Amino acid sequence: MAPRTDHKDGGGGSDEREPEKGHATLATLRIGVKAMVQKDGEKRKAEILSMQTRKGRPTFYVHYDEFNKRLDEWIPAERLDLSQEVEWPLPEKSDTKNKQKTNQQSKNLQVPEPTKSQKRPRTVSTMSDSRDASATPMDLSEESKRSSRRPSMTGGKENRDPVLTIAPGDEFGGTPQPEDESLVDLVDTQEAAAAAKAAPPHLPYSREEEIEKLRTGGSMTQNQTEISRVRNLERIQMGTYEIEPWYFSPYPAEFADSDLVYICEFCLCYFGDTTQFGRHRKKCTLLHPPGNEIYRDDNVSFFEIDGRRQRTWCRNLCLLSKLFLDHKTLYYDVDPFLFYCMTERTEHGHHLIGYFSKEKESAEGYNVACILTLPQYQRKGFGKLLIQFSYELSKIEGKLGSPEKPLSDLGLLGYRAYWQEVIVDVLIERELEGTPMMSVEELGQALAMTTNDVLHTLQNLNMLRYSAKNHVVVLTEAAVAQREKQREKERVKGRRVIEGERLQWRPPVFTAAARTWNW
Amino acid sequence: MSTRGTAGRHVRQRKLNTKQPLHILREDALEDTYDDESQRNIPQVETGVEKGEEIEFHLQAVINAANAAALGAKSNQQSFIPTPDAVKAKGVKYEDFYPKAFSQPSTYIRFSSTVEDCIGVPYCMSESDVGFLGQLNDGKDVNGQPRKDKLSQCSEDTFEEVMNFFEESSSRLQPFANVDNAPILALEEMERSIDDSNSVEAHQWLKPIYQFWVLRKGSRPLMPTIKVRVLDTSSEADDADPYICFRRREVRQTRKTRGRDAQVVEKLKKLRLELEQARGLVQMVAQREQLNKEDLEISRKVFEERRKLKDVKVNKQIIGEKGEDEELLVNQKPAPKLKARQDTGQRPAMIRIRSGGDRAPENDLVQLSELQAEAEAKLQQQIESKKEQHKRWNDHWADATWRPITPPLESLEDPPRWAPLLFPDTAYPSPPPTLPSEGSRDEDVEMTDQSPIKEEDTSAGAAVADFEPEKVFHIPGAFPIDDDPRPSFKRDSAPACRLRYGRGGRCYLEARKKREYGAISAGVVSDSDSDDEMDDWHPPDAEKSFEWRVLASVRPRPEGMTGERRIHPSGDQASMAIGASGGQSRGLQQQASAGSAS
Repeated sequence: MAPRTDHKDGGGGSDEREPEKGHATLATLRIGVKAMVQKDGEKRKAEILSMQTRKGRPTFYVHYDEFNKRLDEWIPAERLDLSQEVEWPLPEKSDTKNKQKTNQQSKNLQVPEPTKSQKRPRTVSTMSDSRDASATPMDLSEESKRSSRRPSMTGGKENRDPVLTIAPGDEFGGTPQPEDESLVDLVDTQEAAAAAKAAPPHLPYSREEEIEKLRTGGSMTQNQTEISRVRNLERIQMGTYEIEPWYFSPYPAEFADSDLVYICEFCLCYFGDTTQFGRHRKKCTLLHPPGNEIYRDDNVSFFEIDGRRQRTWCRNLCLLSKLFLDHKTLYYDVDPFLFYCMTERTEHGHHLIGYFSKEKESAEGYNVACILTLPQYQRKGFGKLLIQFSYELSKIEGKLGSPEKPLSDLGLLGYRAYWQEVIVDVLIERELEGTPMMSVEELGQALAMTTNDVLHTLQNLNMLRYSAKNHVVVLTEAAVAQREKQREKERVKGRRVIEGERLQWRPPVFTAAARTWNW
Repeated sequence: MSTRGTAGRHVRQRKLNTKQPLHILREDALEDTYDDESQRNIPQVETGVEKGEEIEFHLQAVINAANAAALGAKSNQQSFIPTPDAVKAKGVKYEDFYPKAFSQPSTYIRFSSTVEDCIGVPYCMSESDVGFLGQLNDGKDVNGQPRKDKLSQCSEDTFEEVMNFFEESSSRLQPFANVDNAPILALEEMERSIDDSNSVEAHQWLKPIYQFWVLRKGSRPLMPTIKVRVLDTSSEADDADPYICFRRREVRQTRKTRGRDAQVVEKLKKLRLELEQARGLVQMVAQREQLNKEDLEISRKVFEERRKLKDVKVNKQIIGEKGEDEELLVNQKPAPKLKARQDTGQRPAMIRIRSGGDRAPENDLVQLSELQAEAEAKLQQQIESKKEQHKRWNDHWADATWRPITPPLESLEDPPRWAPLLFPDTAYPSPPPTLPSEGSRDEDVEMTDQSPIKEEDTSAGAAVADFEPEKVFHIPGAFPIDDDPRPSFKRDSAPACRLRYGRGGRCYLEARKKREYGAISAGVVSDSDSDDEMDDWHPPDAEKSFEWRVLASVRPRPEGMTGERRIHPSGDQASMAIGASGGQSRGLQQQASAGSAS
């Protein structure tokens, strides 16, 4: 995460102060301390985000440096290596004014963190504690102290997260837009990317800007306050699976106390009590996502669901998917989105595999807002199906699509794999046809991909070369070999693809009135 | 993302045109040697992942592996991003929770019910509810005291319904209970809001369960709910609370004008009216069904009574007339029905019966031809009756108007013919007979049967008598013979004239000028010799011609006009009212009438 690694990422350049180091004991540990933690047989630096006492023993919620937040976890004190020095949280004085202000605030409001001798047998995290009670400045301070970069809510204009590093593609000064101008200077692109990487982060989103941006559309947030939260659910049970959530999701605060939250497979309603869940299952008659089936093949079905008409179901879906999507925001309601849900059929009903949401009208031409394969179905090739389906829809719409940014790490890999596959396929096909010429835009048109995405994929695969003073597309041995390997695998395991002719879908039409009245 | 620098480029490349087709090559077909350092690097590409997360360890590992693979490195090591567990749960009685209830329809599913429609009562019993319900059904109340009411057993569904009622009405009546710590609602207060949607059982159990609900009730709803803000209270505390989600987006403001307001008001009024109407309809349907129900009940009662009467009769050995007993039970049904339908008597019923009898079973099939014949006969009959009617109308009716009915047009066979004005001693081809349509166009003009006569002042006078009308114009071989015995559209090639009697016995001498024969068939490139000749005939517009006719008819007949020029399609026909030009023409008229008389 940017905030936690800013000092490495050149966030402050040479001004960056070395964090104060020293030995710590269990008693002196506090939130924000970075210590070495035993993780999978090795020691990794980790930051303490929260502390509580469980069954009379102190436990710590830690985030590992350079690991995704989904690997954050509660650990017992034994796994902390206190024989090594720990890094204390950065002192208040800092290189930027904003930071100073924020930190000062958190310092002023700082309260001693209770670490030991908790009376309660099982204390909930400070976080959920503060949520249960009415919010006070104290609680805010605790939070801001916890991540020490949390923008204060009372900071007025200064209320911006100073160390956020957000640079979505559109905001790159140097990134040319091939849609506007078909001439792209590849060197410039690369240099710009490099420059952007090297440049100090400078594009923080203020809370206000962020909310305004979300209000007019979009489902992904880059706001630190929204994404740096302690996970609140311990485990969920869904169908035959038990799943560990990855991130915070605003399920009812009561569930923070539950060991297991039950989620109905069909209506996605949530229950903290097995009796309640059992009673609910006796009454629930839903057997599939509550919408129209628009695609069916031997393996999967797709349902289209309107966020406005199926508000409860879509909210439930969003709550569930927020457990696994870090940047997803639930700040605003689901009305402006359509949800395309992929299911698997059994005699019990249609089991949700994954879904993607899509803005009814995307100003930026996104064809996917959020996309998720539920963890119990991951690594089975379903992600690729979802992605393919989203492009099939774009083909029918006659538009070029691209997923909303930021992508998650898994999202990036999924998309890159899909892009690579389809682009290599098209190129090989074109080569076999005997007319081995194709422009980047033509490729994009054939695949309903934006020119930018095609370009990036080609570059990334080292397939766009410069030869004899001309740009050429090279079907590299590596790419072809990879595709062959994949084909081999498909032959063995069976190939899953979306068959466009089975798709019974027309782009939904929305009236101007719908647009005005919140969809 | 790779942190390798992109320095080391020597040649500045041309810009890439994304519209321009690029060659697709295999690696071995590349001409250039592959030594350029820059070509060995994977360029840095925008990933779309947030910068802070791009540097994450596992993602970098995968990306680096992919880059290496793209550059041709052989590596079998699969790198992946680790994720928390998602495992098969142990000891889940899946079949219990999810029965095999799904059967796949052959067509794609279409579905629009909401979650609320599908989950029944939203309240679900918890562990403590189950305990209490057991206690209740054992005959004890919340405090373990024996129940005083006389209710038997409370089902789980009823219990949930009651609890749900409490929860819903309390949240409705005290929406801010969790904020201002309002006292828990009294049972009486909530009972007021009970309506038909609640079952009868639920009504009965309100009281015993209420005590339990009060005990359990806290500031939050019993079923955990997410925090949703319906109203957009953009307060700071609200914003900061991560548990508040799914806020309403503010409605885009539409411009307000007075006209728009009025429009909206109209729309709302109309909507309201329509809804009222719909409500009225539904109400009436309900009423009707209610009446139907009553009717059925009464019928049943009547039947029961009759049955009883029969029993009595049997018991008392009363023997009625033959069939009376049957009537008593069975036959009664149609009778009131008939009465209700037809007050006039039994005639329709009789007819119905007979027609049923007429249709012998073997003759049931209706043939199309029969139907057609029937329809034909009907039509014929109608026509006949219409005729009759008209006859009846016309009976004893004398038309007092002067020449009331336009006489039939002159028969086509014998219109007044044109005779050559000059005797065709020259080799002029003779004109064909005039077009009958010319006459028929002047419908207001009465044409008497008139054989054409020759102008008397010409030298051809003597010849006229010899002229058989048909033959006058027929010089064989003069021009192609038309199959049509009266080639009507041939233009005259020689001047011609005719005498025609118009309305009121007026005599018209009509003349047609001579015309070069060649001009006639020339069609488009007509070198017409006369100024007043038109290439095409444009029908005078109806109004105009009417005016002329009116004008002509109002003028005093004897002296009114000096010459009436008719607008004629060919334009070369000047028709003069000879009667108006003094004694000479009168003489002509007389002569003509004498001619016709002879």
